[in-house]
Amino acid sequence: MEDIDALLRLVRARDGAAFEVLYDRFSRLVFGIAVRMLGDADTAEDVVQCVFLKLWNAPDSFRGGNFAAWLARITRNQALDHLRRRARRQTQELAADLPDAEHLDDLIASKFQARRIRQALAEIPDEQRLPIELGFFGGITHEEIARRIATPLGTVKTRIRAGLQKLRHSLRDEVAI
Amino acid sequence: MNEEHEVLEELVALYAAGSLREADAAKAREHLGMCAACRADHRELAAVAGLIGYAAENDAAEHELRLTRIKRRLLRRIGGDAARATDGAGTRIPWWQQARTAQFAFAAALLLAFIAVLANSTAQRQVHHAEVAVQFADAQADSAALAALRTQQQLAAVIDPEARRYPVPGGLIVARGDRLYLALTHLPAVSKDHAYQVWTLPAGDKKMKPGTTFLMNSAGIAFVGLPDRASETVVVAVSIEPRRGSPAPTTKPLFVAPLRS
Repeated sequence: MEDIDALLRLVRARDGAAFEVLYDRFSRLVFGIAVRMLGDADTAEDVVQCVFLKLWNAPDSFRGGNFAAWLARITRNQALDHLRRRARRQTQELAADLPDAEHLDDLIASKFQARRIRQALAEIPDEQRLPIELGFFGGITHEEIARRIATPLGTVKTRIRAGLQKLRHSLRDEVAI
Repeated sequence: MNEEHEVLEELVALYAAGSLREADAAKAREHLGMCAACRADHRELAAVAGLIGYAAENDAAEHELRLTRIKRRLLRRIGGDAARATDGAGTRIPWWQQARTAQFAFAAALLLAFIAVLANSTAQRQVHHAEVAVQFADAQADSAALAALRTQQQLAAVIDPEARRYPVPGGLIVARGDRLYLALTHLPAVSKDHAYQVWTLPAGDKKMKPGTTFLMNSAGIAFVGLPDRASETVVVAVSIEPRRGSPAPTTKPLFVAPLRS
């Protein structure tokens, strides 16, 4: 985390080399989210460009916490905008943006590599992970998730909540909060 | 805790997961404004939800060239800003020079207007050809610069004293940071219908994953950057396959190299 803070200080001072380091480190995460949500590499490319230009033009919009999780959220929200524009032509209702988080991820990120986070995700039972990932990457509401996986609405709500709690617990086991 | 609060707790969790419609999200926000316990719960769950994106990070592996292209475009876009920042307040132009510049701009505008009036279809065609030529030159420059950038990265990896090296028949596998490179020479020749193909085994998998195909350059050397992460790759192999690559090895590999001792 400390080196991220130092890099962000440099980006605020308009240091292109620091920006490049951040791009090298996080562009795969940003592109991966965008391409999975949009299913289209060209639009995902636009999202990557928007997210990193936002980072360059307004680095102060990151107000602490886990930088990767923040980038993931703004990427998801940006991709959701594209999905909303597409959905206007259809009738599907999309979920609201991901809310801002504060500092648990601060604690997590300083200790965890992407691999550990993926491992924690893999440990969640499929029946819980599926609706969570559908919500995150599909940008759809829990009602729509319930319809798609043909599961009662109440069950979907319970599974999303239980999966997130399990993920929090799994990450907490490794980090003293 | 009453039943109503339990419903709100569930709403807060769904809000953290980003799966509420806007009207319900507004309800969750309203409750969060009043309930400290739910605020604390939400803060943690929302942070965890943000990390779900890591599930898709590997999806970018096959788009390395695209990511390099985006990077170059971004660096070009921010380049001006970065340069202006290093100039500090910038250079002030005296008023008489500004006036001269304005006069020149006015004269140039008049001249351009005159040319525009005289322009005919031939001129327009010439302009079009010129634009195409510029685009073509730009694309060539992009492609050359990209190739140069990749070569520099690959060379830097090979000479970096911190990089981990795994000798293989015909060269080296180099792990620098989390990137993997092949630096190979003296591989058996291939016919014009065949190429070398890379295979990698991700940690935890049992099946080799097909990777990029490549050829030696005219000097008999190949530098290849792999999209796979070094930290998540346990074996790298190379075999000779049909020119366009194969979903599964069809020949005995030239080498199979475990990356961990």
